[in-house]
Amino acid sequence: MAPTALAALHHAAKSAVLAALSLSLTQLARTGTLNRYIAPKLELGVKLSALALFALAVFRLWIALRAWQGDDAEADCGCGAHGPAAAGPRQLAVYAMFLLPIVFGLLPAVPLGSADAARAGIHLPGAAAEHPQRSDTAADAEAFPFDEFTRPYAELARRLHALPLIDVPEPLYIETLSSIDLYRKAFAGHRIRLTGFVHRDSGATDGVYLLSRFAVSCCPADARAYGLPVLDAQAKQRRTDEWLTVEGVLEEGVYDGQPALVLRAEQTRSAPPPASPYVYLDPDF
Amino acid sequence: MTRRLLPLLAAVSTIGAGAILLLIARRDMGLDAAAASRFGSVFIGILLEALPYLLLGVAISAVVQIYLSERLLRRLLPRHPLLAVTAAGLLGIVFPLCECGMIPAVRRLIRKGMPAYAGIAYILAGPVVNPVVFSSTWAAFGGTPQMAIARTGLAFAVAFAIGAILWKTLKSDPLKADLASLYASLPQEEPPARPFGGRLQSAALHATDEFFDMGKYLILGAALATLFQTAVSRSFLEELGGNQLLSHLFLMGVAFLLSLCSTSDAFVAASFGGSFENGALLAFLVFGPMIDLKSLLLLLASFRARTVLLVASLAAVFTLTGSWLLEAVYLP
Repeated sequence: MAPTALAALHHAAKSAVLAALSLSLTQLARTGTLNRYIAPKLELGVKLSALALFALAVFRLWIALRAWQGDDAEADCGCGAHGPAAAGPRQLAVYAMFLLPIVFGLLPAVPLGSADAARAGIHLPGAAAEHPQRSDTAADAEAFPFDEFTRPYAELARRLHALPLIDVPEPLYIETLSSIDLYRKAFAGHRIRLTGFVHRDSGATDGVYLLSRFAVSCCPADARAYGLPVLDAQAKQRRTDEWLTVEGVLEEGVYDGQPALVLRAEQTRSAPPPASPYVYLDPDF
Repeated sequence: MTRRLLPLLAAVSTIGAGAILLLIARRDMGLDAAAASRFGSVFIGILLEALPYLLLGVAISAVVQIYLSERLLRRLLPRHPLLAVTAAGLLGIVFPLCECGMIPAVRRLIRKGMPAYAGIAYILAGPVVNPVVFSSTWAAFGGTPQMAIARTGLAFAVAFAIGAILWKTLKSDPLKADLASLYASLPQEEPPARPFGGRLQSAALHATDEFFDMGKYLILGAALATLFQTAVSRSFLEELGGNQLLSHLFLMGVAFLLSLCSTSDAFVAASFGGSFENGALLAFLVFGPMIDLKSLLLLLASFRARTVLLVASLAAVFTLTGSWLLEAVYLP
């Protein structure tokens, strides 16, 4: 193959890879499935990247056409930073490598589930563990004592406590469960409605499972599973990974040998998997 | 002609065979398809998280290559090496790039005449010493604000120490010998002034080539990190790390393998909080952003293996010592 044709081929291959990456990102954004891979706060960056990749693909195509006509832009760049186009299987393997993420993206969507929760480790709503409760002397008298770090939890707890039924909202999922856990005593006996998937770990018994969700801060690599133990008379019939909406009463109980807040189920119905597979910490909380 | 086409045919048939295998696996082994899909979620997640930074990095690198003259760069940098290392260690406050973007940009700056010790100090400190990471660490360790302060301070100290050591010991060019550095070492005459269009075209060429050059290491690193993430359970790791004496070293190893982005690793570290002391968590938070599987491959793509190994082992020793000391005197 003539050197100009070979150079043109390499430019064209790069253009094709860039275009394929850009189009698959566009497809993810268009179908709203970017949330399988990254947190909403990062989506803008990815969308801008798709635009940049597309612009570069068009540019490379133009360079390829020029090279085909014998005018190689790299040859007259003059900076000396471009080697002769490396030909052969090695370079082609590099191009193929960039298509690997696209191939994985074509697989059917299976968001993280129970098996991953077992691997990542499950957390009972843990504001109390992460923010040791050190109540100010002045606030001790109140029902929801707080320090500078637990102040927002105390405020949320006060609002939640006034509700007849706490319907845990998706945008404040972790914050709501953490608030409730921080003030276990105050919330014992309260009604709550919670949606999640069924997960079982070493603490699960015939009558208990964990109703869980994954919290993600950037991408599934940093996912942490949160779960609330549910006492359910029909626990045996609940399939692991099944999505359920459970309504019931909070109790102070024991899970896996540790004192924990548990949910005694009264009404349980199956729920569709949520549109957003993960929950996120509210940055303004 | 036919010999040239052979590799192309080989590549096409490999991809084809892979696709068929995948289809068979999907149809006949339902479980494996789910596992592959979960692998894909984490793998693509890591890549998408890094992609905007990688593109920003190659764009900055291209702009530096085309517009920043060596004379201007020399004027901008502090003259005294230790001042230069200090400035490089704090540069992340002004330019908060993550390591995927930093390495291509710094490689270009070094080729333009920035001292390598300062460049490496920026690569090491930048992912931690910046406002974004400080605030995410502050948020993740709400109860112990000392963590965010200790993390930033220790990362700067380690980067400064390594920069100073490299200033004294580095004699030869630490960049990998390739055509570009060969050319760069030649006495250079001022290039003829080129029209704007020509410069832009040259910048775009550099940016795409560098995207492919860095991207392949990023993909490899992300694939290895995902393999580790999806195959090994975290509770298993926590059990292994129960030994107090080894827990610092152990969590540094975990940080290396997990290859998390420095903006999100604080949340993972906080979730280890029940099983590890704060000093060990600090070692995780300082070492991981400096040296991990993903960035090690990116570093090896740019620097000589000897330099990379020296930097990685110094970073490990200093992080270990620093986190032990801070645990004894500062951390709750």
